[in-house]
Amino acid sequence: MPAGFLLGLLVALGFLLSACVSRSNQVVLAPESPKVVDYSGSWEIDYELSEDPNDKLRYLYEVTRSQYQQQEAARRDMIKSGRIPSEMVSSAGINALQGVIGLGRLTEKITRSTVLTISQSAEDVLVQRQGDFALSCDFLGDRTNENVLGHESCGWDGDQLIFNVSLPEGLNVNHRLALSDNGRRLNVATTVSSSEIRQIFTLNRVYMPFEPGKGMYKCEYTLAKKTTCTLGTEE
Amino acid sequence: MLLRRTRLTGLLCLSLLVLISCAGTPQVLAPEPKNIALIKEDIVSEPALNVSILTFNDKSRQNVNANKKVFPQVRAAEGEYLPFVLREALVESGHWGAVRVVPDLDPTAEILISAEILVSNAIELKLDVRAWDSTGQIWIDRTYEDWAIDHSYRYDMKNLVEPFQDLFNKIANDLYMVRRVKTEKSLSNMLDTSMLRYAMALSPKAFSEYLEIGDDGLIILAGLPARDDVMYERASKIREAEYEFIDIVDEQYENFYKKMQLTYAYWRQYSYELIEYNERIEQSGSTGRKKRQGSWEELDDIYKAYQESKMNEDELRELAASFDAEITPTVTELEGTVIKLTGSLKSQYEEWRALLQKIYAQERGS
Repeated sequence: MPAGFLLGLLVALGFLLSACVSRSNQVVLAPESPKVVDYSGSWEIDYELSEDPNDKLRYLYEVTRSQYQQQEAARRDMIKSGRIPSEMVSSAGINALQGVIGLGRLTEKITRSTVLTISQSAEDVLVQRQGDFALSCDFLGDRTNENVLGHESCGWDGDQLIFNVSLPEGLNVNHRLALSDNGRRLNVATTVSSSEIRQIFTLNRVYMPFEPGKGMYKCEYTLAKKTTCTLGTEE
Repeated sequence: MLLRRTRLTGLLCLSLLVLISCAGTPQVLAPEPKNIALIKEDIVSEPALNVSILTFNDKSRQNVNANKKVFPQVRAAEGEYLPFVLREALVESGHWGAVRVVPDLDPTAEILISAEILVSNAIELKLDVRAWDSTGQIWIDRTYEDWAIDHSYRYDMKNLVEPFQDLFNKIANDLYMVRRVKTEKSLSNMLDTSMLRYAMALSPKAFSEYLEIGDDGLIILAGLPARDDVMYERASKIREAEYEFIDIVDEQYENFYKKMQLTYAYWRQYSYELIEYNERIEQSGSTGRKKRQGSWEELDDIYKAYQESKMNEDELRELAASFDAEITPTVTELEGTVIKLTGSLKSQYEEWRALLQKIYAQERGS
């Protein structure tokens, strides 16, 4: 196994340990954040420290398959001993495997953004994700939103920022943002679950700060021109 | 946007197929459809009263628990978009003089309309509307509600149809019904009162004797200055300058309305589909789709619909933010001097008024 991957796994585990003080997907809406952490800035993905969705999927697939095989073996024993009729054929295992693949593919899709731009004030936070919709939270208003799309909630859990959405058919997506002690790395743990699938899928993507506009595209949204990007520095 | 639209077309087609396959009327619960036609007139009724519509407030934000279906990102844009829809209805009715959208209370208006957004989503629009004249008489103070069910959302995007046109027609009609029963004398009183209130704001001492407050709190016209009253003439000129400025402001709202129209229409259309989809699930317990529960296709479909709608919300938020950022400085001429005002429309308006008052005060002093 490459050293980089192991290092990434260790860092991700570190984040997870700190992130999983409350393992529940339910957002804890603390009335006041005890310590407001500033997440503002531009962040780009650190591939070295981020989990690879395919590796994670492979791992979860193996775990699920192993569980399935054990269940199958147990079921065969039960049939042999006559405790259950032989015609009972279970498709739960196959469904579980397909479900894990589904969750994995969806999580990979949800976590594709390689650049985050976060603006935060005492009133709200806006996490703009490149190529995807922004996550926002109004700290002063009601942080739960039962709307046409589903049930959205957001808020602080200690010094971590949480965004949660419950969609139809029991699909739940949770983003947990945690900043490293030195503020140089941002971990976004995305957990996707479905009431139809027993497994949950969590993917940790780590981001590092960067200065926008330095040798990169500078994009601006205007009514007249929509989004226009220019190459080069601001000078 | 185009890509998003293309991707959504597939989704929408899928939703439509589901809808067609499930027999029955749309599941969105709403009152019986009713079309309210706008009462029109070819010639503006005399005397022509000017109407100013304040940008709408978002009451749902202060009262979130009463209305869970709130999209804060979209609200800012709606506050500037919806007043313009009302303006269009009033202009089309032909009963009024100039109809303008203004960022702040307009002392020059004969009729002022304010509204608070109680509910606004793709299905339902609910507004608390208040209209009053320059004497302080309330013309309208009620809640208006309309459902988009009586307008097809699958309309031609080239001929954008306002799904809540009934609501705006109703407000315009109600306003006209109040005006219709007013005597010519009371209407002309409103014009004079409006002018005197404006003059009084410039110079309270000089004009306060002409206006009194009645027992009912309404402003009574106690008299009029002489026709050749120099100060009154001066105030009239200043008022004309204010009109010119408000017209420039109104133009900016018009531009914003035009730019937002298409994005807003798409956002409403997607939201409508989602509401309908969710209500169908709530009622029947399933989507009626053939896809296996928990499959990748199903998860992907659900998330995609959510993602697309959120991305449209983002676009609306960016539009609203751009509107504030792109407000052009107003360059206008006043008394031979070129004036340039910058900042938000509200601050430009305040600055302009302060300037007019200063000019008036200086002239009186000289």
